[in-house]
Amino acid sequence: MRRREFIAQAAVLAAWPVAARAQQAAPPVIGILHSSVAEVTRPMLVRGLAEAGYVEGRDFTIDGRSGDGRAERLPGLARELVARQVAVIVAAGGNGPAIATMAVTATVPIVFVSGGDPVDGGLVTSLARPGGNVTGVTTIGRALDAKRLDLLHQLLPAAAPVGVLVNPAYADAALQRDELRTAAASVGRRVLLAEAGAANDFDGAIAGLARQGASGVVVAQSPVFFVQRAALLKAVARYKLPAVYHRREFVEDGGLISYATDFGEGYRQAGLYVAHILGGAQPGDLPVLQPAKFEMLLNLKTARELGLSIPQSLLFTADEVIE
Amino acid sequence: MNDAGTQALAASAAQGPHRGRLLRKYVALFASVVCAALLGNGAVEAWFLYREQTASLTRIQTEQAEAAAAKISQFIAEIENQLGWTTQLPWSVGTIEQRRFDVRRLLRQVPAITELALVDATGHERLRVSRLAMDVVDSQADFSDDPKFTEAAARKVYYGPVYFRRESEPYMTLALAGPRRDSGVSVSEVNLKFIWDVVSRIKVGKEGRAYVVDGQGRLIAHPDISLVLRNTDRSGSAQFQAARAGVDMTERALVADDSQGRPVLSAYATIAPLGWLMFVELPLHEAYAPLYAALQRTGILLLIGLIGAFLAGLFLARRMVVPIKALQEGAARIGGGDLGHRVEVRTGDELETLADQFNTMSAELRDSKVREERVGRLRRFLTTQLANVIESSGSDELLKSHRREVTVVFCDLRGFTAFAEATDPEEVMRVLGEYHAGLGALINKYEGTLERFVGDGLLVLFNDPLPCPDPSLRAVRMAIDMRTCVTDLAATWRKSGHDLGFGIGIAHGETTLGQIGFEGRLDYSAIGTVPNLAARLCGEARDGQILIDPKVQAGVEGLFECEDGGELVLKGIRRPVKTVNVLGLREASSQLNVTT
Repeated sequence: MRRREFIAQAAVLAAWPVAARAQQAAPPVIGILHSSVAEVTRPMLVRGLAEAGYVEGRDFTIDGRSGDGRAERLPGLARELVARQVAVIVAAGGNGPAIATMAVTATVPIVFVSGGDPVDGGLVTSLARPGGNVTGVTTIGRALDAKRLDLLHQLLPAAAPVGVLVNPAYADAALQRDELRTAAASVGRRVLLAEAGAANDFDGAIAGLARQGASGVVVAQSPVFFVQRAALLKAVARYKLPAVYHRREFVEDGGLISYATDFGEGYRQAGLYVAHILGGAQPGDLPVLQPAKFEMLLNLKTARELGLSIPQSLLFTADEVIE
Repeated sequence: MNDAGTQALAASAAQGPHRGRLLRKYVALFASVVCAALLGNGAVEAWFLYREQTASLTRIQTEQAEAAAAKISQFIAEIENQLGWTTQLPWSVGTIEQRRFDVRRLLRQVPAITELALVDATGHERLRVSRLAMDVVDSQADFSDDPKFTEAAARKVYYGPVYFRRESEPYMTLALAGPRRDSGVSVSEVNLKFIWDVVSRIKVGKEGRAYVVDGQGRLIAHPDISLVLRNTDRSGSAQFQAARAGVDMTERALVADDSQGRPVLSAYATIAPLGWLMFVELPLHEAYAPLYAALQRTGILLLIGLIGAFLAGLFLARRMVVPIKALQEGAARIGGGDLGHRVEVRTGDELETLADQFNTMSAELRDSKVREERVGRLRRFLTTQLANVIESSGSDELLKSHRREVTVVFCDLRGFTAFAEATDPEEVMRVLGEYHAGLGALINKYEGTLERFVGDGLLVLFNDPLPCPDPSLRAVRMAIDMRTCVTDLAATWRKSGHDLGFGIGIAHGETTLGQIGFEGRLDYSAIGTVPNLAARLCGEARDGQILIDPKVQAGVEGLFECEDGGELVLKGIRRPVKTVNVLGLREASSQLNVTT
């Protein structure tokens, strides 16, 4: 091959992917099905895709569908996305969206991001080799509820009952209740249970717990609580209850303590997996990712407002302390 | 050169069955010589480059593997070091809260530890702190028979086998005994995913990879974490087998397939003290990219060399072929008779010399042909010897017009005209042939010059163009022999019914000689009274008579038997001529011989 031709062809080859993408009539659509608000998933998902070289608008577009905390809406939304022939569906906010989507399609790749256990929840049979059209990221959210209760327990006066706030619409709600009861029993505490499915219910639920004599609240894993955290934090503050949360953002916004993996990191990893799948990978070949980093955040300002003295064993072992 | 040869040559020049063969040979020779040189050079270069590249890459990769292995050893050592803080206190002192605080701080310091259990000196669990579950105090779980406890107690430190939590995440148990007998054992579960940070930071070329497998060949750390989480088994790979066998890859590069089946250049290092292996691999296509570049360069050079060789071959072959064609064409034209053709070759080399020789040859051929033509012409009226003498003298000097005393013999047949009219031409020509053949031999014998013959009449000169001392004597002797010859012939002719006689006239005197005629038909001729007189005497001679004039008689006085022929008045001769008829040679002069 002549050198000039070779260079010309090499240039064409180098330019080809860009040209090929540009020539496509429409970039693939990534569907997001979120149990409450799809937008929470978006920023870090897009960042993960960008890390893999996929630019929104040029290489993909996003169609987000939100269940607004109503589980019964999820199957319909999943059908809509499948009917739109999206390239991948990111199912986030618990196991619910993934379960709803799996009921609709066995072919469209599904990348879940869930705090629930993917094996217990029936999303996959093996973390190492998910098989089928499903893979994803588990943020081990629900599994940490007991751990959170343990942390709160160390802050509270002995023997006082501990309140638990659960979203009854959350897919693993029943499991959460059982686990938290068991956990409380193991440290010799009684559990006061309150349920709330929407922002309107928060004040009543927290008020109920306070009235029953709860010394603190474990806010169980639920996307609704996260999305509506402003209202929840307000209600908790009003009744001056120490509370432990399942995402760091609660503490940044005035919550007392959180213990969790980084959900944003989970969405970023989901973005990388979506990029893999757009690049031709089979979802069933991609192992379910588990977090390795867990962080405890403590808000000392809130602690002072509550008149709590934080034991050194917590203060010095927190990963981040907000003054 | 014969006709067939000429035609063949002309044909070969025109059609050229071998046309272009020289050209092809030259081009092929040049191309193959240049290619062989370039290929040889390229192959040697590539070989050494391959050797050096492989050696240097293997060395670099081995160093990288060793450095990475050291980092992982350090990573484990760091965990061990941190674990040491939890085993300082004997179980007899300190509260459980104090220990919990220590463990929590440790977990904060060392993210890779997911779970830590403190076991007292009796092998019972006193505290378990996990990132994923609630703390467990005083479970009293029995570790006393567990290698985590027994091995650690015996050897201070215990590295458990790699296991996969939930069949996915690689973990290892690392247990450490305290400095004192009663300080118990700390049992930590280490998430090996954190080694990913180490291996993913190792840059091996552009596409190279570093990864870790345990002693059983299971993948522990790989930049593509998916492979680890899928619990990939590399125990069957060639590089693992080689490393297990302890092959020293620094001496010899190991080429094997990576987990995607691509060929890679592989190097390894052992990770002490775990017995794990750190592999550093570079895809062959990247490892040998400089080699491929060199090969490509060689290829381009080869192409350029080929074109150059082709052009050089073409140029040289043309330099050879054009003059050779000129020579070929010259040979064909000369063969075809164009002796004046000159081959023009100005190459200043052997070919020009050849062309010059060729031209010299054609010039000589031309000269030789001209000479041959002249000899042929001379032969018609001179004896062969004389013709050769004249030819070899190189000039026509002898044939120039001049006057000289000559003896002229004229003879013819009696009754020939009537015979010729009455007889068929073949017979006439046969008789004439015998006659000429007989007389011709005698003319040559006596070195006479056959001036002309007309039908049966012959005119022979003596003393010209080559002088001889005794022209008349020769003339008469020849005449006597002629008469004898013809008398014999006439006897045979007579048997065929042909009655032919023979008469001779001989005259002597000064006459004019020279070439007469025109371009292409020149005869050497005697002009004047003497040949005329000889002809007249012949005309007067009866059958068998040899009439000579007085000047001839004076030349041969006393040598021959003669009789008086009487005085004859001859046409065109003013005065009557006194003639003598020669009868024969006198006995006394029989020894007389003519030098031939």
